[in-house]
Amino acid sequence: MNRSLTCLLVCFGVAALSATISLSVGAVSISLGDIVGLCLDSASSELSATDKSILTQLRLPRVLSACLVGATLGAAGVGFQGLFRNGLADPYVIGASSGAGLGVTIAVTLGLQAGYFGFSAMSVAALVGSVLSVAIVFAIGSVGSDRTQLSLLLAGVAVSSMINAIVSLMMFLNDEKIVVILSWLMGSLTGSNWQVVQATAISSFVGVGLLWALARPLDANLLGEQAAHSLGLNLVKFRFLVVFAASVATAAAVSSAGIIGFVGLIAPHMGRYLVGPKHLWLVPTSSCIGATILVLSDSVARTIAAPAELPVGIVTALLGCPFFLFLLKTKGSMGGQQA
Amino acid sequence: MNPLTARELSLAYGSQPILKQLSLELRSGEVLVLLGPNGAGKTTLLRTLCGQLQPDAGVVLIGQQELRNFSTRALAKNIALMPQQENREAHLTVLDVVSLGRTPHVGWWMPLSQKDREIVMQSLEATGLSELADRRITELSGGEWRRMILARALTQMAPILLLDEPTAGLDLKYQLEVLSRVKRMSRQCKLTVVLTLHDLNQASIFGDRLAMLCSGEILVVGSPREVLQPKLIEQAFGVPVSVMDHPIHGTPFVVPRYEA
Repeated sequence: MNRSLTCLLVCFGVAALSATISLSVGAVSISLGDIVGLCLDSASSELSATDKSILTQLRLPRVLSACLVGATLGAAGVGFQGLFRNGLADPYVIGASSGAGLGVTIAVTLGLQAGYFGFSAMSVAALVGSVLSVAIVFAIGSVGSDRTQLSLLLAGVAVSSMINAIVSLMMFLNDEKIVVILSWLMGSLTGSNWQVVQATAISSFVGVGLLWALARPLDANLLGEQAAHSLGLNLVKFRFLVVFAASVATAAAVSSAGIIGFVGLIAPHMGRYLVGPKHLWLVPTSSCIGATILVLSDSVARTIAAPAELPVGIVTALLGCPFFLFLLKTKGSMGGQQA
Repeated sequence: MNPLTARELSLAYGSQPILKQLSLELRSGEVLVLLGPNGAGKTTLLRTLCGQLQPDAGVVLIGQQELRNFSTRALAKNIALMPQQENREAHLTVLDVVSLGRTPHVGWWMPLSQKDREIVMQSLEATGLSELADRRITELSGGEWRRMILARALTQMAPILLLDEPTAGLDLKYQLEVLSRVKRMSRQCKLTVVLTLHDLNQASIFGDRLAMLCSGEILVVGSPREVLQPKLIEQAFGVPVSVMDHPIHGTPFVVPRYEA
């Protein structure tokens, strides 16, 4: 069996194992044996009705949300790093994060309550803000004579900075709502339920699937724009598709769990270290790694200070950063995405 | 029918004209070498001929069809470009990069067929890279890297090959190796090749025809003997030269006249 396929299968196995372990931890401890027993034969399970309810109505949707959001951020990170040929790019680099932040700030400030398709008003506002800001960045970065990846990146940085300034201004003017906004901006999976899982799954599969289908063009783009064009790549169409796919994926993640940093940055680097730069393997491997990181981080977030919960975004950064730096220190370039 | 024709191409970067009503016709199966001083417009002409740059005026024809009517993918099936520079930091293997040459034929989504893989292997063999197929491109020497890009261009199976300074940065051995392979490929595969060179004597040996560019215009096109004349060379490069016969090849041999 080829090495990349082996690594992918191992990563998938680790993600599945992490998810199973995560189901067992929390304020009420449920053994792995009971979880497996419930999966095999729910009728004869020895779990109490309360435990079953905790497992199926609270933990399972939460763990699945964590898997979907982590996998989506991992794949989106691969898409943006591949597009910009820059290992520092992450899913939030072209304004998705700041746009979502502005959407939430507006929703909280205006006191919007109505939800849609299982999402709260804040989540819907985040989704709309995220997609709109990316659309603006793409419109600005794709006009004029200098239509390169760099102009798109710079447009993203500029628009993000402006939107962040607007968010700060709105928080400053509405200081009584600052806690609500901040807690969302730090990321959390507490609002997960089956409707959220369903909605996130649809957007995630569209985004991640499209990115996976773009594996060969992403490989060609690694060689530079001239080479990619020479190989028959319509660069405008390619950029649009990657940005669209990665933004849909990011928006799905952001709208269900808030802003969770670092996963989209480090999962692709770890994936590249394991399977190399070929996107055919890198996209699914990074997704599995992203899922694992977020599931484990969420487990820590909801147990380490129980009964209180830490924002999962803080945990991903606190745990992920040292591990990432350790890998960087010991493994050099992490397999080849230039930074 | 000419495989590629440029008619009265004009192109400017801002207010700086680079190509000025330039016309050029390629002949099927020939090796045409573009010569000229830095800034003469050689690279710009190549990039315009393969559709990477849009001319402000004039047209490029592939056969009898205008180039702008071709999709990027259809264009890549007809013209393969070997750029002067590419990102060499990607940790792809030689096999990965050469396989990408099949992209115009299989599209973005489809996997390579057995036939595609055979073509890739043939290109690797033709460029002497079979042994290096699994090597990372970051570990290649300059000559090996050029050969890999040539292999990728051959894998595209395009009838027209554009090579932008294929010998830049290579030592003499690799320069001759790359040029010999190009010439041999052109003969064996009936490829029409356009390449840019700075070495007039290599152009004289390896080119079927030469085109001398100066300030965005073609000064002269013709056989090496028609183009490599002292007056024309001095006009283009501003350097007085003597032209004699090459002692081995019998082609025109240019010797600059200057005091060290």
